[in-house]
Amino acid sequence: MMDWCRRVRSYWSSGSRTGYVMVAPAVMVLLIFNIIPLFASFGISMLDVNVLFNNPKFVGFQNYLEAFGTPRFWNSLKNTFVFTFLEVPCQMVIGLALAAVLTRNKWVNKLFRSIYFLPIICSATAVGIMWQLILNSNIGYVSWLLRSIGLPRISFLKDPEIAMYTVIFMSVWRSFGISTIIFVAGMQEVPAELYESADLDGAGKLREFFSITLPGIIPTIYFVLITRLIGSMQVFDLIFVTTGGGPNFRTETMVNYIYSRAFSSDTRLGYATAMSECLFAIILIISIMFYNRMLKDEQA
Amino acid sequence: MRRKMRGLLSLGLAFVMTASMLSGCGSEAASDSGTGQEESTAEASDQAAEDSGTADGAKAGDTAAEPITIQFWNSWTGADGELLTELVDEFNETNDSGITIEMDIMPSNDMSQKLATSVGAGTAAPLLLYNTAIKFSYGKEGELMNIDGIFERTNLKKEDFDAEVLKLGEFDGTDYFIPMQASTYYFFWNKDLFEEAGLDPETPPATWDEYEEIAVKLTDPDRNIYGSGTQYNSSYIQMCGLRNYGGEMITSNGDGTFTYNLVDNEGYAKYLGIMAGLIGNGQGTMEGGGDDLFRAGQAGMLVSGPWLLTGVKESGINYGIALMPGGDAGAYNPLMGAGFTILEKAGEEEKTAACKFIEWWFMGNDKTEKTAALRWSTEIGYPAFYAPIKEEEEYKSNNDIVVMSGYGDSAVQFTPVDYPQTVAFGADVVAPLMENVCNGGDITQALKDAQAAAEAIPIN
Repeated sequence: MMDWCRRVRSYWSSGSRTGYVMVAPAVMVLLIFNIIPLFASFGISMLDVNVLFNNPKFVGFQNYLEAFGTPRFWNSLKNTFVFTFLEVPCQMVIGLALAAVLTRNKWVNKLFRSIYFLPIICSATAVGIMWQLILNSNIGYVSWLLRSIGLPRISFLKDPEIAMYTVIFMSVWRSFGISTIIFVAGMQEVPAELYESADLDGAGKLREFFSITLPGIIPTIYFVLITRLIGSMQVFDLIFVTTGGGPNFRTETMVNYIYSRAFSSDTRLGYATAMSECLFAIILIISIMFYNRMLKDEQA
Repeated sequence: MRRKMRGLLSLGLAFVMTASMLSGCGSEAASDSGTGQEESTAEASDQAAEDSGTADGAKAGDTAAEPITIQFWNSWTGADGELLTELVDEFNETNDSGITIEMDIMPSNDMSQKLATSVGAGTAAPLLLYNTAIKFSYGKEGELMNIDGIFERTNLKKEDFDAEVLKLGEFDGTDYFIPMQASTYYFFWNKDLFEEAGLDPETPPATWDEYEEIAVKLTDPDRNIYGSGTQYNSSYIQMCGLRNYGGEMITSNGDGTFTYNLVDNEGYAKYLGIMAGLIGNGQGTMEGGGDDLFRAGQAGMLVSGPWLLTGVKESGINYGIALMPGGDAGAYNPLMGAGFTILEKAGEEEKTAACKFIEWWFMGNDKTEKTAALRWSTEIGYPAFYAPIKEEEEYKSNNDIVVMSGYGDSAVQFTPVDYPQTVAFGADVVAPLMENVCNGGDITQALKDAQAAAEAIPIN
């Protein structure tokens, strides 16, 4: 028995095998809670079944065809793209700009980095409720400000023309902090000698930013871009709490629509899962595109 | 030695991570599960207590010998939730059957989602208080107990309940709910604001046309007062108004199919014009929170539910209450109900305990001064539908309740009794229709879009 224990210990103590042992729990979690459900959900998407899983009926790709023929599906997809391709660049630009200012590890910079990070750790529900109150056209602070300077009331979350932009604003407000922190970390890795050489050559701060900082943090930019894209395409909680997908489905994103089909006004789990698979495929394709582009740029 | 330590450390870390991962996996936690209770034998089942007409007059065969705790889920998150909590605590303290009700109140959307997943997994609470609309899904799937089982286990009598109200919980000939509250929507008005505007404070509008005229007179932008606080995108309130102008929105064909009557409906177009005008001209608010506006004296009138009554009384508003305004097609008052229901998969002891609580709700016990049902009616403001409560002096002398009980023959259901998608119809058809027209959309086109959306709802 002792011999066996010794052999096992010595086997798993070698460098690379220790690594496998260390990642095994994470891999198991990934397998049980991500990979297996992913394949299982593809199976569910082929069923006509409710959330109680009573009397499932195999329907093949019928759920997918139904989704593609539903205007509300395409509307939610359009809203998802609008949200993502406005929100992500906004928060990245703001994050980059702030990171450039807060790179040095002075105490005041650290303080501001912490302040900008605070919205991220607040729950989306709390953030949504807070902004609902601030932007309320009857009792909100913004409404009071507008009226005090003679402007009319604006229903930020009820006007179909501006509701989506209001939601994007709230999301950017909540998320730019994490982009800032990641960019700061990336910028701190850029070698200081490059800036010193640029100073000697007479380059200004702006020139240094565009010619040294930005090229130096390309991998970081791609990392933030891909992760924020994935997150934004799955937006749900902020919209659920504030507009509920309205007015008139103008802010209803894919996940909000999926939720309504699975749990809210309908209980068609198979149909909702089919749309989830569509969203997964779209996010996968976009992520792979940007990832390949990142690899090409790195090789170049 | 260092290599040995490193190896031991890495193995230990891996073990801790795996153990913590596995400990996070769901186990059959008895404290979370209502249906996971171990069944105990009913030792005292042969003891037939004397039938004193109260809940302590236990029926034979249903006294739990061991203390039992059951979960009770509902979504009464508003002010009425405080009274509900107080009543549940009273039951826990005063019942002699050793029953403890552990109540979990959660927002309606959360409960909807939680119920969907937990019923399938068999971990849902055995006792629920919910909108009767779930009879179409959970009742149909056999997940809810037939309430005849409640009458068999208790001293409650089916004939003591209003038949129309019991029908709210009926699906396909089986009753799944003991109603806990049932009412329609009501018209509330601020008598002081009426008087200031030169209107008779004792005369509410009889129709929505009059409502619109009065709203114009009541609105005062300088004082931030809206004439109308009625929520424009509340699907159930708007279904009431639409029906009173254009008749039935949905007609049952008797064979499981339904006809929608939205497109080219002049009555609906007229009502939509009224609501769009109120919003567009500033007499109504786009934001929600009409109840809060009314309580704050910032809305002259609104249509809302009986839950508003308590808050209005506390706010000191000089209010009036009446049935909803009618319209060209009549003055209907659709009933909405919520009730107690018990899961079919619950254990026998759990069902008995749940029945005991329901019985206590209506009949009390020897320690009860006022039954829960009476308190619910008189303190929250819901009309009673249980005959003994209606005979109570305190109930009969409450003027508001008398008014609210006055719907009589005008009481109908929101949709045909066999229409299974009322919730979807409200969320996917009516609410977007109202949002569309109140944001300036063309009414004729909006009705066409609503018709298409209605016809796209799958009828299971």
